[in-house]
Amino acid sequence: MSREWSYWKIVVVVLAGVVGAGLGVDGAHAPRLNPSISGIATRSSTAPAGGAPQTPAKVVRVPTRPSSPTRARAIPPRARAIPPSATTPQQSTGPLLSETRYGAYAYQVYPTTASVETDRALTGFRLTFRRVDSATVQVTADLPDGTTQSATFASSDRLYFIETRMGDDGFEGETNLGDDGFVITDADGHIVRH
Amino acid sequence: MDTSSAISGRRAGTIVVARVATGIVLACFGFWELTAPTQWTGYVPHVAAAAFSPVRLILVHGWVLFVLAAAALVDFAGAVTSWIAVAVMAEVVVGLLATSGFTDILVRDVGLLALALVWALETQSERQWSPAPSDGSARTRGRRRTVVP
Repeated sequence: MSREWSYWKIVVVVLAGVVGAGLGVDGAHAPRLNPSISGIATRSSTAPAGGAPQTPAKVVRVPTRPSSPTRARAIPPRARAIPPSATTPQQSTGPLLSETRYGAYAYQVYPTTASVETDRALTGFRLTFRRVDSATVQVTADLPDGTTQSATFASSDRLYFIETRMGDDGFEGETNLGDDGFVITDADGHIVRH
Repeated sequence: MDTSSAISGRRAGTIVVARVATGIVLACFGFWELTAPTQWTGYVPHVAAAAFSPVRLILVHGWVLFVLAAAALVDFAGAVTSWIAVAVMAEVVVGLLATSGFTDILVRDVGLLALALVWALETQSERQWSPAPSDGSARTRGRRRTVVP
């Protein structure tokens, strides 16, 4: 009897291993948050404090209007998705942010809209927007790891901050930058690629 | 019910609570790490990230958590599984300490480590205080038995 019981347990554990492997194979292809939207990562002004390799996950590109610092409100009307790696020089329109898996975790930070949720999502981050000219805005992001990144984008675009898990936003600030990122969309919510 | 039986019953209850609670936590984190590994790479210590792909490390870690959770929830080889859970939680705490220092999240995970430790110690204790199976079979070890006064 105990033998049957043990076999049953073994089957469950082996099954979990197989299911876990399947989830892992699928998860390995999951889109990742763009660490350098609009090339911000390459324009980092400060080297990572501890040499954290994974940190450059946030940044900006931006939309319309001149600037104003800070955090805005959550959940874009049609957002989802993370910008595919921004590498192309010219701007093109991507999928709707709202149709991607990250749409539900997107918080609009430009144009700025006051929101408690966005403030919470941006724990550890500090964003500053500056108008470069009538059609361009520059955003500067101070990251929790001590680095500063900046980028410019069309003032007609919208900038979203992605925060998939609030659990890593503790009293000390953000402890995991892997689940954070920035996405720029056009006024219609389509992800902008550069 | 005599005192020994009462103590044994309480211990069994403690083990079930600690085991199931630990299993649920491991299952959730294992699932999340497997389905969205890139979102957890921030917890990979720099040294490890420099040597291996952070995403792969997270996938392996998530898989271990997932399988461990299944073993915990069905009470498979509790005496061994519980100590593996303690080792994994200790690894998580050390990793957090290395990547983020002393934070509230670290304190939370120390609590989870303590939970796994309760499961392991109580399981071990139960085995020590239980009479050896008459046939000497290891198969029945670790199961609840009444202590002979």
